[in-house]
Formats: sequence, structure tokens, C-alpha cells
Amino acid sequence: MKSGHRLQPGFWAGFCIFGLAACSDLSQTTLDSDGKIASLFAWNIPDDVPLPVEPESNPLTQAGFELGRHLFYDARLSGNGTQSCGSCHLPEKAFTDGLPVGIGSTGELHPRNSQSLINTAYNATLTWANPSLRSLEQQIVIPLFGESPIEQGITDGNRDEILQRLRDEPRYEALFADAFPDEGDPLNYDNIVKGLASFVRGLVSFSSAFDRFERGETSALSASAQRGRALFFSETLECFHCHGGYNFSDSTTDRSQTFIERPFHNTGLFNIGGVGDFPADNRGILEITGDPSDMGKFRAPTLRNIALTAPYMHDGSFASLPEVIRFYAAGGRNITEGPHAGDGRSNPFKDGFVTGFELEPSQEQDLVAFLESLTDTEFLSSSHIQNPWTDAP
Amino acid sequence: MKHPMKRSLPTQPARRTLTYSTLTLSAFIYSSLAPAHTTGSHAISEGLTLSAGLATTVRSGPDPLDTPWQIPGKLMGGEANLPESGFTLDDAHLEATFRHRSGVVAGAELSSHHDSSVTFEQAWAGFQAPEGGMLRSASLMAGQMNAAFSPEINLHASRSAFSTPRLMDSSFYGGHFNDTGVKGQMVLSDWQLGAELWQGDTFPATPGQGGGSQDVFAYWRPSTSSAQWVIGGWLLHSRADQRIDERLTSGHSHGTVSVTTADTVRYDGGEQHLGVHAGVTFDISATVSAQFVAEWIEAHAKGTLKDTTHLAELEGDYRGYWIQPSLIWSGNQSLVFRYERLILKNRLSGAGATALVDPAGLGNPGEDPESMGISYRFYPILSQSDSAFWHQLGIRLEWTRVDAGIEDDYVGIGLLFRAQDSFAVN
Repeated sequence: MKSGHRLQPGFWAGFCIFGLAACSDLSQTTLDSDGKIASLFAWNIPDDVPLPVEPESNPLTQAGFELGRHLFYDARLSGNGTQSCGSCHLPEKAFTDGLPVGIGSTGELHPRNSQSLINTAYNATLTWANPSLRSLEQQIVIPLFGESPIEQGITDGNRDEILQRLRDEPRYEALFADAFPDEGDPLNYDNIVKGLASFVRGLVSFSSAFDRFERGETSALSASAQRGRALFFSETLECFHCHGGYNFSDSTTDRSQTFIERPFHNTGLFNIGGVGDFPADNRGILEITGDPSDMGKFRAPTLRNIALTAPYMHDGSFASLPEVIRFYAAGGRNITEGPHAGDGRSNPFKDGFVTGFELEPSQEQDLVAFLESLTDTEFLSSSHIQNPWTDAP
Repeated sequence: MKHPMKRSLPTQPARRTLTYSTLTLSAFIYSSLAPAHTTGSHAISEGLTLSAGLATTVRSGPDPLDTPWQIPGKLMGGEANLPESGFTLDDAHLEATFRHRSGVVAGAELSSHHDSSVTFEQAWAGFQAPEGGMLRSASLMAGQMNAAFSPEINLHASRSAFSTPRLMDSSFYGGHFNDTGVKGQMVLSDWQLGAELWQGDTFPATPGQGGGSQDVFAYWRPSTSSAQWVIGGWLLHSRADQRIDERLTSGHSHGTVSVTTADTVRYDGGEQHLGVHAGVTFDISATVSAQFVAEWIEAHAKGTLKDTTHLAELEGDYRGYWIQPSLIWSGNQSLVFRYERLILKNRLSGAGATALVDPAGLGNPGEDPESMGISYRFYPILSQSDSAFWHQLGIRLEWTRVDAGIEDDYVGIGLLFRAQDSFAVN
């Protein structure tokens, strides 16, 4: 600028200061979750946990949940009238049965352990090892109508008879009508499946001592459990990599997710012949995909309520939590004799996180204390999930 | 050595003697005490020029963080770091620039900032046209360089009034802006004009297809017999493709049940910045000068955030400003006040909005990040001679209060050193 200009530095400096001050505003972050919190069902889920996905063809309602609860505990919904879904999924055992493997209505053994149904709504895939099973509506037809193994034993030969049993039950007329008010004759297998799926979908639990601790109730966890919590989430033990997140499983999905991950893991339970094989009737998602590298890969189940769901693993081969912890500490299982002999620790398809670790006995107790803190006794004892037929006349 | 400031000395007869002596001294002192805007020519001197700087500080805080520093409400990255308590090496650099009489120019710089690693910060070459008429300099350079769009963005701690980067530079540019690219600029009379094209190695851009940054800038630097001004600004556009916060390493520790961590959140989108820089330096008396410098940025970001399972759209409107009044007296002392503030507004939409907001560091409780500080610098050793060599040794006392992801106030005492020498090359 030339000398003739009249710039007054002090004036302009002051002008800038006041100008900046006048433009003061507040930072803010706004969220539009695209209607992802809309639901007809009272989920009773903490704010920091996203809602599960509800299929458009079967939105969850209280009436659907209630219908499903009656169907779930009704043994008439089996071929021989002896077994209900609740026979293998007992609420007091976090909806497992305490057996190594499930037993069908005809006595046939299921090759796999009966899984907990708690928070199944969040499962990215259903059952132990089926990447194609994505919805409860898909999955539920398997125990109802499956022939290998037979579970509920509903067949073409008895399906009408079973339906008639339900028609004969006075409660169902109102239950079906409430759940499917727009249908003239809603009592059919399609709606039975929807009802059952609604009940199972509504079994969500986030009120364990661990949950209360995470929400600030510091006395909710014992000192031992707190030490176990630190171990669980440590890089040394690596537990959280497969059993992390709000549902303690990496195979978790919810409404906030656009991309669905469907992880499966080989934990080194077997290594038959030293070539990575698992028992012929239980080979993980290899049975679905046909990919040899999928040998022995199973879905990581939720650890919520895990203290109630013994025995553990897909084949129920460990009776207690300390056994499971020692298995992971060893980095797999070494079977030295018998038809399944082989060192699972060196299974070529074993997950990279199962590398083993060392634990003092007191640390093992701490870890068990933490796992026990994941039990939601409040939910499991609540009346709305119990067998409604126990008070039947 | 011909200091760039001397090019803007007044030529009118009035007050020539006093003004010349004052501004000559000020020009030299300003090289350490004044903001960078007072040296606007950017012309490379003929021959070889070596310069070095060192800044160390002992601070009372803040305590080291377990995780990288996160300003609530802004995606961060680059080398945005808070200083730590104790002794730190804030800046150590050695720079060489060369200009052949043919106009060929080249430069290189080794430096270390806030850690022990030494990196090649600059390595560039180009051509500088000879002065003529209104044209005071014009150059075209290519290579790894510091950006020139803001006079202060890449100021070393040995020259800056404070030992720590501004919130604005940390949040918008990852601490500083150094990238590989092409730079063209010219100084025409009182105007400096330039454009830069970057390949995107530096935050907020990413390199490769879908990434990169471009900027243009213009500054007007008028002066009177007792005041120097700079008024100008820049426009910057950057693109990021699947950008992650590289400050986060894989050696993470999980204390909560959340499996979504910031290092898995990726940003794909663009940012546009409009920056305004203004400053004035004026004499209050023969031995006292005052300065006022301010910078303002308006930025807009639009893109997508995602991790392995979540997706959300992000729109961010950000504003940042800092003001810095200062006094310089006796030729070797300065007192500087700095206040800065960020206003960060984000809108996340889509299914993954709730899940991604906190892992991405975008949660903001409605508080504007801000900081303020006071710095006093004293140069007891201030060599100035007719030779091309000069050196300065000083101390810095500073107090800083920061409320941006952390709340802390701390004091620091530091040592400052700078030296420069020029050599004729036949």
C-alpha cells in the first residue's frame, strides 16, 4: 500500500477481535438414524445398544411375542406330542438343556449342543455353523420339520393333526387373532413360524451384573470379576476378538449395520490324522460351503449367561468353564488316542487368535467370576418368558 | 545475507533514517519474534543458504494420553498430537536452499517434530524467474514441500510464538501440511499469488486414485512507513478415499466391550476450506512494535463413514479462528497472546450413524474446543553482522490452557536457537 492510504491498525485489530467474538457459536453433532429406533415392541434395551433387525414380513409385536411364547412351550407342536421347543431350551438354563447334545422328540441325538436362545435376535447367522441361515423364520422350520435329525418331528403325515390340536386349544384363537388381526384364519404353519420367531427374537437380555457395572454401578462386579474383566479384554488372552461387542460374539448384527459379517472359527478342538479334520458328522461350515479351509469352523456364541449353559462347545465336550479356559490356554486340544486322535493345537485351520496363554489359578478364578457376572438373573426369572401352560387348567 | 524483509523497506524520504534503523532491527528480530506473514516474498536467494533451528521445552503438562488426541467433533489424522509433560524436542531442522544464477532452485530439509524420528521434510527443485519491473519473484517448484497457502501453517516451533501447534492446524491439517506436489507462485508488487497441487500424502487427503489436494492462495502485503499489512487467504479442496486415522496403531488395548474402534472407521469424501489470514505490524515507538494477526477457516466436509459393518453419511460444517496480538520491544523481547476456537457441526445420517459417531471421534457435547496462551520470548544472544551468517539464542516462557478433548493448563520453559548462513556459488 502506498503512503497515502490511511489504515488505522488499532482500529482494524479491534474490529477483528469484536468480529470474531460476535461470530461465536456452539459445536454440535446431530444424528439421524434413519428411523432405526422405530418398533412396535417394547424392547427394553439400553440406549447404547442398537435394536435388532425386525423382518418387514414379521415385525415384532407384543401379541406376536405372546403367541410365540405359548407355541414355544407347547408340546402339542411335535409329531408325537411329547416335545416342545422349550424341552431343549429351558429358561432356567438360559434356554439350553444341560446336555452335551440335543435329543429330538423321537430320541434321536442331535450332533450338536443346544444353544442358548438369549439375544438370538442379534445373531448374524443362526445355529452353530450355517452361513446361509440369516433369519429366525428360516431357522425355525429346521427343528419343526427337519428329518435329519428329527427334532419336533412334524411331517406331511401329521401336520394336519398337529394343526388340529392347536385349533382345539381355546387360548390359541385369541392369540392368533391378536397377532395377525388382518387374517381371517391365521392359524397356519406360516404364522406358527412367525410366532415362534417373534418369541425368540424378543428374548433379549442386557441386565447382568456386568451391564450394571458398565453403566456405572461399580459395586455390581466383585473385585475378582473386575480382574477377570481386565483379563478378558486383554490382548494377552484375546478372548474379546471373537467374543466381543455388546453381545459378546463377533457374529452379531443389528439395525445400525449395513454390511453383515458372518465370521466362523476353528478353535483347535480336533485335528484328526494331523490334517485338520473334525469328526465326520460335525465339521462346521465346511458342510455348507464345501470349502476345505472351512473345516471345523463354528460361530462364536454369545457369552451372555454362559455360566448357565454348560456343557460347552458345539459338541458339548467341556463340562465346565474352567475346562474351557484351560482349553484356550493350551491353544487347542490334544487328543492322544481313539478315533479322534490328533493335536488340535496344530490344526492348520485354527483361528489365529487361539494361540494359548498362561494363567495363574487365581486368574482362572477371576476369569470365571467375570463370566459368571454375565448372567442376567433378572431377565431369566421374569414371568413374561416363562412357560404359560404351567397354570393351565 | 539479504533478508526478505528488507525488500519492503520504505523508500520515501520522510522518517527514512529512524524508520530504516527501526525496521532493519525489526526485520531481523521479526524473523524470530514476528508471525511469518511479515516475510512474504518466498524468493530464494542466489547461492547456497543453510539454516537450522532448534526448540526444546520442559512443560508441566499435559499428561500423556493412552490414545491419540481427539478433538471432539472433528475427524483427525496426520501428525496431530498434543505436547506432553516433561522435556520435549519440539523442533529440530536443517534446511538448505540453492539458487543458481540461471534460475534453477532446489531445496531440502531434515527435521524432527515432537518425536525422535528424523525425516526428509522437504526435497524439491524448480525454477525461479529473475526479478524485473513489478515482478519480485516467480517460481515453479516440484517435489516434497511445505504448503504455502497459509503463512503460518508450517511454522517451526523455533520460530513460532508457541511451542505447540494451533488447534486449527491440528484439526484441519493434521498439525502441518507437507506433501509431494507442484507449486507455482509469484510476487507482483504487493501481491503474492500461488497455486499448489498435492498428491494427497497429507491429511485431510489420501494419495492415489480418488485422493489428493489442490489449493490457491492470494495475499496482499501493503506497507506504510510505520505499518505492514497482510490480507489474504486460500481455497483448498481435498479428497480422501477410505481414509483412516493413521495415528492409531494396531497395538490397541480394549477396556470396553465395544469392538468398533476409531482405527477401523474410514472416511470417504471431500473437504473444502476457505481460509482468511490478516495481520498488521506497526510501530508504537522507536523501540516498541505491536502486531495483530488472525486467521479464520470455514470448512465443509461431505462423505461417508464406515467400518466393517456400519455406514453413515457425514456432513460437517467447521469454523475455526485464532487471534494473536503481541508486543515486541527492545528488539529482542516479545509478549504474545493467542486465543483460538473451533466450532464443529456434524450431521450423521443413516443406519450406522449412532454406532459410528463415537468411534469416529465426532461426538460433541455442545462445547467449542478452544485454547489460549501467553508466550514471552527473550533473545539474549542476537548476532547480526554484515556477513551472511547470523544466529539467535533465546528462551521462551509460555502458559497454555487447552479445552479440546482434554482440559488442562500448563506452563513451559524452552530454549530457542536459529542460525543461518549463505554462501556464494560460482
